[in-house]
Amino acid sequence: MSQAATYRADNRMDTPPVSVILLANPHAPRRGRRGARGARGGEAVEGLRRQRYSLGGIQVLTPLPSESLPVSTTGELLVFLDGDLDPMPTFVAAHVGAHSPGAGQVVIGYSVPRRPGPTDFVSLERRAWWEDHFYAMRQRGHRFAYDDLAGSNFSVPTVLFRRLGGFDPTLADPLAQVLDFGVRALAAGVPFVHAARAAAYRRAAWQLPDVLAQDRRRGRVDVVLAQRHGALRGRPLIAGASGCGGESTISTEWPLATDTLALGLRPLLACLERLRLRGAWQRLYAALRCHAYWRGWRSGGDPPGIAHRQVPALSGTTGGAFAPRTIEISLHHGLAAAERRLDEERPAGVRLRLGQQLIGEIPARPGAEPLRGVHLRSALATELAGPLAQALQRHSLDGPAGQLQLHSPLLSLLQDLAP
Amino acid sequence: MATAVLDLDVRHLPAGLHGLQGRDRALALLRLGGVPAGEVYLPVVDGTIDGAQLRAAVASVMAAAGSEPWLAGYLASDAARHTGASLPSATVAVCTRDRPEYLQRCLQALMRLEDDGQEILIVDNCPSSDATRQLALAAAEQRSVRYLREDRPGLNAARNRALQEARTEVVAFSDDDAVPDPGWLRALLRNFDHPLVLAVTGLTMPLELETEAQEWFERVSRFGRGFSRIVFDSATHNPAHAGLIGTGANMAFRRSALDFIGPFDDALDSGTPTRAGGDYEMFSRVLASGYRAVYDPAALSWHCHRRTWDELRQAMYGYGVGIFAAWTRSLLDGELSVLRAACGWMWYRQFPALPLALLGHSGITPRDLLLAELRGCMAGPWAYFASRRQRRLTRACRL
Repeated sequence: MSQAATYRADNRMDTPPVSVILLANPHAPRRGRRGARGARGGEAVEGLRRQRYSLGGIQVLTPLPSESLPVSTTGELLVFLDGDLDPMPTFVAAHVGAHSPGAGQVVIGYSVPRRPGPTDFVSLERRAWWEDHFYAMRQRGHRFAYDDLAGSNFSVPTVLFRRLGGFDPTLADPLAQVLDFGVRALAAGVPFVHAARAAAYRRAAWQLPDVLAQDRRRGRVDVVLAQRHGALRGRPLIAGASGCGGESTISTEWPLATDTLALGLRPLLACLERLRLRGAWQRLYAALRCHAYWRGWRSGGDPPGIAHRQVPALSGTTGGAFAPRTIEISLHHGLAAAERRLDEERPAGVRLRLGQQLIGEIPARPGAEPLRGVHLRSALATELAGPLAQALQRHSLDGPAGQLQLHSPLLSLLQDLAP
Repeated sequence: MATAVLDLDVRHLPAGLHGLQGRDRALALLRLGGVPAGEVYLPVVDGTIDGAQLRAAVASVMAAAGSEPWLAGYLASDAARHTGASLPSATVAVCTRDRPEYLQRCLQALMRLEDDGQEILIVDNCPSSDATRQLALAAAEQRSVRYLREDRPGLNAARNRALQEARTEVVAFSDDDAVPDPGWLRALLRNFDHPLVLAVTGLTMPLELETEAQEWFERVSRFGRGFSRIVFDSATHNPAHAGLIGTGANMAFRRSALDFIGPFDDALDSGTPTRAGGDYEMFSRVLASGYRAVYDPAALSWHCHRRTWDELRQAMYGYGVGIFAAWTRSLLDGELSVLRAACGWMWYRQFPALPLALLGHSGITPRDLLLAELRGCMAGPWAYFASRRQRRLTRACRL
């Protein structure tokens, strides 16, 4: 284990000592010739020197791959930070402040891409993806999942980290360690919260080879996770990979041919970008990423099983940790009552009805937290808005409208206008 | 005959509408809980709209299209209210040039905005009299109003001045011939919660449809973009089609846009040879730079369209010049997709309509308007180069 630095400012006894553990970032962009990817921590260490946190001490550590947690860790709170991120001056204080006393939670910070940054299509796409990722977390109705930790900016009380077994050093890949920890934390009922003020900036640009390498790596990691955690089996986890059509089969059945083809198609992306043919660029980019992901998936596990996108479980793994429990709720008694019931029961999924009419379902999501009441309105406002509007109309025309207590002017309107 | 413009809350529909003599129909904006949810054209007979007919028309509009986007917005904003997220600070800028009678009406509307401490900037572009300044001084007695004189001619030069002078995170722009709704500013600001959103536009409805020119403007070049909130980014929308985003009469920008994508191009828009296109080009640059623009119909403003046919023809010519001038600028920036957009504009919009207009078909854009726009399209690129040359000369003279 190497200890990068220890900073002590004026001690204030009411602030806990904090250990910042620098991680090898799973999503690090290319860093040019310096090649400083990983836990060298140049920018992170620089940023940590500027912290405004008045401390019991900030201890900065870099773990070895074989360690669950460096033995010299002294902090009461562990902040995990990608070594390539440049934390804002209030970063540590924001992480500390977001932990409610005794709550035992995981706080996820905001790893924000620099603006303005490079304007090539890959950088723009990656920046938008990360911004959307964190924007979703800021929404009140966000349903946290284990891969929300992939930004490599989160904090956990040391006691909780040890109780959950920490990172698993038998996993070779740091990304797999982080995500595996996330799965176990959620399975143990640990709440995740997001602290937007715990921000750290990414300085470097993304380049296509890095993105594809990360996708390939993510494919391998997903196989490992699926082998360990039964609920994640048979499901591509990377964003967009589930939308891959023939690419997945072709990539896994004829890897050499598709590797060659993918390599040959890469220069075409640059041509499409120069011509600003965005639609064609996006389709090709998505296909290359799908290919990279599925090649990673194939190289990560048992080929016959992989070909059918099914990963066999390892013995003694958490096959039943996410056995989904779906309940049914009618919105008859109003949104508040439905929200209360979700808070009480915490199901994995819910089917929503209005009287006898089915509105739709918030499905069980492997690797995500169980549903809370707060998830209901955001789901109704987005993917279920159409079915809800239709159900409200039908119900107001056919059903026992007097029993509805949804505080909705629309409902009143529909009732008013009913013949 | 003229068209009456009505603003109705669908939960409190009147038994009937009277006193609409001189109008043969009415355009009604339908609000639900204060939020625009749809619109409907209603026949006026002897100055009256029948109550039953009104309710039936409203019910069909709301059932068909109004409920889902409204419901989504209602639940989403309901959820947002629970987060307690605060709105960004804002300045309202009105860029004007020698139109005190319009500006007065606009200022009266701005005085009715919910007071969140916003400052109102009046940017007086190359004024020929003191009238605008006097109006601003009078308004400053009621609210925080600041008068700025900008002597570089051009709407975009005035907009840039407003962005430079504002001290807030967001600057909302209203034209002097627009009348913003009391909830306009807050509705715009709510959309800046995503860090990639640099621009927000709102629904612009006609303030009046009293003349044939105003009716035709609303038919062929309406400012409204519907009743659903739309998020634009370059992944889903070609930046060359930025006109779908909205109009400069009702828009807001993050002030950091100046740093991220640069200022408005002062060679574009009114007061320059290009006559229009300044807002269009800026929206296009927002998308091309990987940022987003949002159209939110909850941000409502009313616009007084050109009253005379000659003004309308000039406006159509100006829009033609402006859009092709804006595309020329984008092309110079390397945005090759404008070539496809320009060809598409001609092929799908102008060429099919032209023979019908020449034959005098009813229901088609009148021939003189179409030809004016077409002439503008041809003149656009040259107007842009002329405008740039003019700017360079002006700067050189100043130095």
